[in-house]
Formats: sequence, structure tokens, C-alpha cells
Amino acid sequence: MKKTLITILILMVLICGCGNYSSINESGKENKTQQSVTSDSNLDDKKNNQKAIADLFAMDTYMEITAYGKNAGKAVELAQKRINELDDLLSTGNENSQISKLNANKELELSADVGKIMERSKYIYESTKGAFNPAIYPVMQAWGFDTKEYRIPKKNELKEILKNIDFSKVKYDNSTKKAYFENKNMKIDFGGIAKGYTSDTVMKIFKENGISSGLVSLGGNVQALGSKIDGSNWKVAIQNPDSDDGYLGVLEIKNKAVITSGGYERYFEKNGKIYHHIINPKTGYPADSGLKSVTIVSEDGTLADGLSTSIFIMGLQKAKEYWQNSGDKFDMILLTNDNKQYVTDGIYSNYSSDSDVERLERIKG
Amino acid sequence: MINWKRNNTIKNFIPAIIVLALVVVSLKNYSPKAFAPKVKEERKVEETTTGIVADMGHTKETTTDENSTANSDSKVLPVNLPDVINHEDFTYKDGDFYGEAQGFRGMIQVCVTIKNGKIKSINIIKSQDDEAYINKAISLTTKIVNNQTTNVDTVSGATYSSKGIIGAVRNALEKAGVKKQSISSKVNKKNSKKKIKKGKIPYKDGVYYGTGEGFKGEIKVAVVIENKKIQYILIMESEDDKEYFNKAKSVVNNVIKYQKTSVDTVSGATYSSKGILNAIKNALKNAKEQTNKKPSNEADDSNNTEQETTTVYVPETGNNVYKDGTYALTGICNPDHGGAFEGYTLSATITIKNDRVVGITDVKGIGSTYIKANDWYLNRAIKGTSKEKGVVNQILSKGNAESIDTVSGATCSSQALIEIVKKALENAKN
Repeated sequence: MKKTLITILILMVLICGCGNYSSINESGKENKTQQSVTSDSNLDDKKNNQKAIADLFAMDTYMEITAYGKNAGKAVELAQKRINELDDLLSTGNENSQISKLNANKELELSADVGKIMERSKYIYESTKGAFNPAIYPVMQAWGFDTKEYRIPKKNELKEILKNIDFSKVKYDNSTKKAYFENKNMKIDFGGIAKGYTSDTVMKIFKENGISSGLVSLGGNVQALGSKIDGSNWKVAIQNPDSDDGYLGVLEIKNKAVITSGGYERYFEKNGKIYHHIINPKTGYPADSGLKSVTIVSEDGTLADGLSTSIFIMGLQKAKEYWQNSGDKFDMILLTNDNKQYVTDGIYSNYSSDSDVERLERIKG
Repeated sequence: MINWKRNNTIKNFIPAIIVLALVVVSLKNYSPKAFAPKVKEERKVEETTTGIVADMGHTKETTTDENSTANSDSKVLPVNLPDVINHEDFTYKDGDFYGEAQGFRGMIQVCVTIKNGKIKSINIIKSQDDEAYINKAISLTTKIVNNQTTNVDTVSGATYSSKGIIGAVRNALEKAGVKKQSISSKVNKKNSKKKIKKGKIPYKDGVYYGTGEGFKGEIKVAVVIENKKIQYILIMESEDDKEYFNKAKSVVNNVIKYQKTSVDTVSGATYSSKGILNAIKNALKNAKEQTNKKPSNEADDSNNTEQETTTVYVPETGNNVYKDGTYALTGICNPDHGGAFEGYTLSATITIKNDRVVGITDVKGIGSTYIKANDWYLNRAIKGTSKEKGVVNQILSKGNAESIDTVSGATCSSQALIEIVKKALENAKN
């Protein structure tokens, strides 16, 4: 799916202090984790407006966590711990993770977190009519997106693999937390939803610790708690898929996740053609729906993450219909291949861009 | 003068300097007013006396009037290249010329060497495209040199990188070419859309430094403010890897484009931008402090215990020994006794401000004798080792090139770089 969780096996959790540490993982590659928890003493109300920041590398990506408040340091510390825990549960590159065990044994009693992610995945899978599909993993492997050893699979090869990606064949009982695969050739990966679930979890930890203002970016998956300490909106720029100067636009938010997906994130080029990593489960090939970038804005980070890739796969028309039928759960910013921008009602007035933007209005009925 | 106050954290790792020549792509849209005339003078000096070619890859010597620079700028060759350039319509000046164009991931920069009016060599200086594609597309440079034309087919499997390279060479040739006919009005039209916002930065002109905590360590930037605008941002020192920096470049470009750092984060950017943004913010904070400070307070600087700030801006006195400016120069790295490797030409861009060397960027080997294996030595000379300070760090903390220690094992490259800085100072003498 979107970004496979891979290869980073062990990231040391460093509870305190600043500095640079390195660890060697099993593949012999050096990982560096640098974390710092600092407090900004320049602020007026020192006790209540402490600021804590942490950078870490987890889930195969850079992450930044910022919190303001009395317990900011503790909240950020707990958040890091949780992120690393979730990484350990969900990484397909870690053979001891729950996902790896489930894929190997085709059945497993899931932990509370993985069970919850399974549940949410099932819902989004159904509501997007399979555009979101964690069982796409074997296809991702065939393209080499898990190992970065890219190749173009043969048509017949894909045809065979596509027989084994029916996510409805993954059964999950919420009361016993037991999951099993009816089709034993299946493998799943929650890479397309894990970071959204993780940022939701971080927000929860922030709230539990009395934090009222915080921001996380998990490899470009942004989620904010409350507003900035001065009460103003967080300003979240949207990455421009085409060029490295100029954002697509800037969105002002409070209490929202902003998650952007596009073919520019991971791709390879062969015979003059770009093959990106958002695979259409219907065809087994990179989605070619006419969209270049999709941004989902929602209070629900898990939903936003799951939808960012599936809306990308749907294309403009289906995306509009899906949005019309889904109540007020999310808003979106769509960029088409011919560089037209579409922004839905709920965020239209909070979005500014140098280019023209077409407003998508909700049809009541 | 300039005090570098180091965070404690930096002790933990090798005090290395990567002078990432992020003389940012966006620069080409204007030339800082104070610098532009210097560049012209500089060129004259070079051409008449030493014969060494100096050319600014990033600063246009054209007028600083905003509208006209926007039009004259020819940076962006879009992915749709004009099919054919009629090379017979141009004659080319001898020298090294820099050009850039959009690759897949970002701008590809090349250095084209013209000798006797012919394209002698092409070096790819900078690219953000994945190495695999560049390696494929690099064959085009030979093809262009052999056939003396940029009208070559792209390499399949690396179309975007190919187009970037071809575009960049054409861009360089435009600077080298005495045109009998304009290349493509289409290209210019596209560029004119790109405007730099008007200056609103309420700070005094100057070079300001700031640091921020990057992923792997401290990032140090120099922000040049002139005419109420952030004119450019140099990333002077960083522990972060190259890939990170190629990505971070977009952050720098955006700050220059929008003239502010006000975005909190970027959705869909799979890299960390906080360190670099904080470094820029701290530099601007410095600028603010310096702007508001009364001259009488300057004596208190030594008591300033603030950790983030790294430097004190020295106001212009009017009695400078050296003219402020940016100087692109070359020097020769010659092995001692017909040594183990072939000598090569080193080029670097030196920024002088208030009698101090404040920037050493774009350090690279150029010309056909420079081979990839030299990168290691050059890198060592620039960054130093865990025991020895790099040449760049030494010069920047001293502000001049006197009594600079060469880095062992990279003596030749060190020497060449020191010579370039000395040459720049020599040329900058009032």
C-alpha cells in the first residue's frame, strides 16, 4: 500500500537527554536516532507553556513531534515510546512483528492496537469498494516496492497474484481478537493506514497528559492538536508534487490531520515511464486515475491516511461521489494531472494557493 | 568579530562542515544589488590578468530591475524541451558556464566548458535525481561533446534526467552564446510567471547566521538580507546526509519565494524540515536583534549567553579593506612530485562581507581531469576529520585565509581551496 513499513528493525528508545546515538541493526546498516526534548524558557508562562520537541526515525520515515504545555516533555516521551511500539507491531520488515507473524502463520490473536487497525481497515476497505486494500502487499512485493529492488512484473504473474488479494478473505473477530486468512496465499500490510493510526494515538497521549497544543509530522502525515499556543491556526503547507520551489498551497487548521499522497513519494523509472507506488488493486498496476496528488483533511487521522491513497486510486469523479456520500467526515484537496485544483467546502475558506482552485460544494439531499 | 558559540551537542560528533552549495536555485531570479557589480569587475580582472574563468552559476549579471530579471531569466526549461536548438545560430565564448534545468526530482546543474568556441566538456554538478537515472543519462554529455549539439535523443529509462541534462546544457550555452537569434520565446514566457515577492523583511542588510537542530546534528545557515529581502540562504554546516539535503533545498527555496518561515509543517513532504527552518528562524531572530540594537550595546555581546545565536553582525564602517561581494574563482590542485594522481581544477564561490570571508560554497572539482575519486580528498579538505578541522571551518571562523592548516591526506585539495580564498581576497581589495 502507500508506504510499506520496512527494514528498520530496532530503533533504540532513548528516554532522555540530547545527543547522537547509533545502533547497528541486523542488516548491518547503521541507524541513527537523535532525539531532543527541550523546553523553551523564553515563554511568558514557563510552567504551563513548556515546549517539547522530538525527532525520530521510525516506520521508515522521519518524524517530528511537538507539544506545548505543562507536561509537554513527558507527553512527547510517551508518544515516542508508543510510536516505536507500534512500529514493532506493524513492521513487515521485522519478523517478530504481529504483521509478520500473521502473514507467516495465516492466523493470530491480535493486540489491541493491531485489532483496532484491522477493524478500521475493514471499514475503509468496504466503504471505498476495495480501493483501500491492505491485502495488496504481495503485488507491492512483485513490483519491488518493499525492498526497493524495482521491477515490472509480467502480466501473467500479476494475474496470479491478484487472485490472492481479496481482503474480505481476511476474517477478524473483534471479541476474541483472532484474525485468520481464508486464503492461505495472502499477505497483508497496514502501511497505508499505520501512520494515520499512529498520529491519532499521539493526539490521544497528548490529551491524556493535558496537552492542548501539539503538532506531529510522521513522514509528511501531519496531525495537529488544538491550535497554536497563541490561539491561531496551524499553517500546513501542501507539498507540490512537481517542483521543489513553491508549495501547492497552505491550509490553516485546528484539530485536524492533513495527509497527502502522490505518485512522487516513491517511484521508479523504466523505459521512459514512471512507475509509482500507489497500486490499483483492480489492475495490479500503478494507479492512473488522472490525479497527481490527494490531500485528505479530517479529525480522524486513521481515516485520512486510508483515504489518501484510495481517493488517489478512485480519480476525480469517484472521489467527488465518495465525498458527497460520506457526511462531514473529511475534506480534500485534489490536484489533477493537468494541474487543476479542487477543494471541498469544509476547508475552502481556509486554503490559499497561488493557482486557481475550484470549490467542490456539498449537495444536500 | 564573529563568535561561533557551539551547542554542547556538537561535541558528540565530528565537527564537520558540509558546505552544501545551496546557493539556492531560486537565486537566479535576481542579483543582490551590492554583489552584482562586483561580479562584473571580478570577471574582468580574471579574464585580463590570470585567464582563469570566473562565472557565477547563480548570480545573473543582468540588471536588478525586477521585471526585467524575471524575463531575462532562463532557468526553467520545462520537461517539454524545444525539439531542436539551431547551434549554428550561436557562437560561444570560451570559459566555464553553468546551467540548470528541471530533472525529475529537481534542478540539474551542469558546468559546460567551452574552448576555442567548442563544447569541450560537460560536468554534472548537482542533481536530485536518483543516481541510477543520472548514471544512465550521463552518456548524453559525451554525446553532446562528440556531436557538438544538444539535439540528442533522451536515454530511455531516464527520460526526465535526460531532459534535465539537455536543458541544463542549453541553459549554460545560452550564457556562453552570442546569439544571433533568441532561443525560444516560449521558455521566457513561462519564466516570467515566477515572481519573487517584494521585500518586507524589516531588517538591516547583512549576513546573519543561525543554527537549528537537524536530524543528525546541528545545521548552520547564513541568511543574506539585502533590500528588505532574503536574498539567499546558504547551508553552511550540517551532519545530515545528502539525500536529506536535496530535499531540504525545497524548504530553502520556499523561504526565499515566500520571504517568510511561517508555515508550521508540510503535508506530504517525507523529510524533516524543522532543523533547517529553525536555523533560518534563528538567523532572522539575529537579524532582528541586530537591527534593533543600539551601537552602544555592542560591548555587552560577550555577556550574551543565549545559546542559539552564533554570530554578531558587524555594521559596515565604510573603511573596509575588501569590497563586499561574491567571487567565483578557480584554483589548481597540483600533486607534489608528479604525484599519484592527476592535477585538477577546483572551483569555489567565496562571499566577502565586511572584510570577512563569510561564505565558501560551490566547492567542486571541474574540468576533464577531475575524477570522481577526488571527491574523497576534496571532502576531507572541506570537512576535515575527527581530529583536524576542515579548511572551510577554519577560514570561516577566522574570516581570512591566513595560517590555515591543511588537512592531512588531503593537502593538495586543502591548499587549492586556501589559494582560492586568498585570490578572492586579493581581488576584493579596495
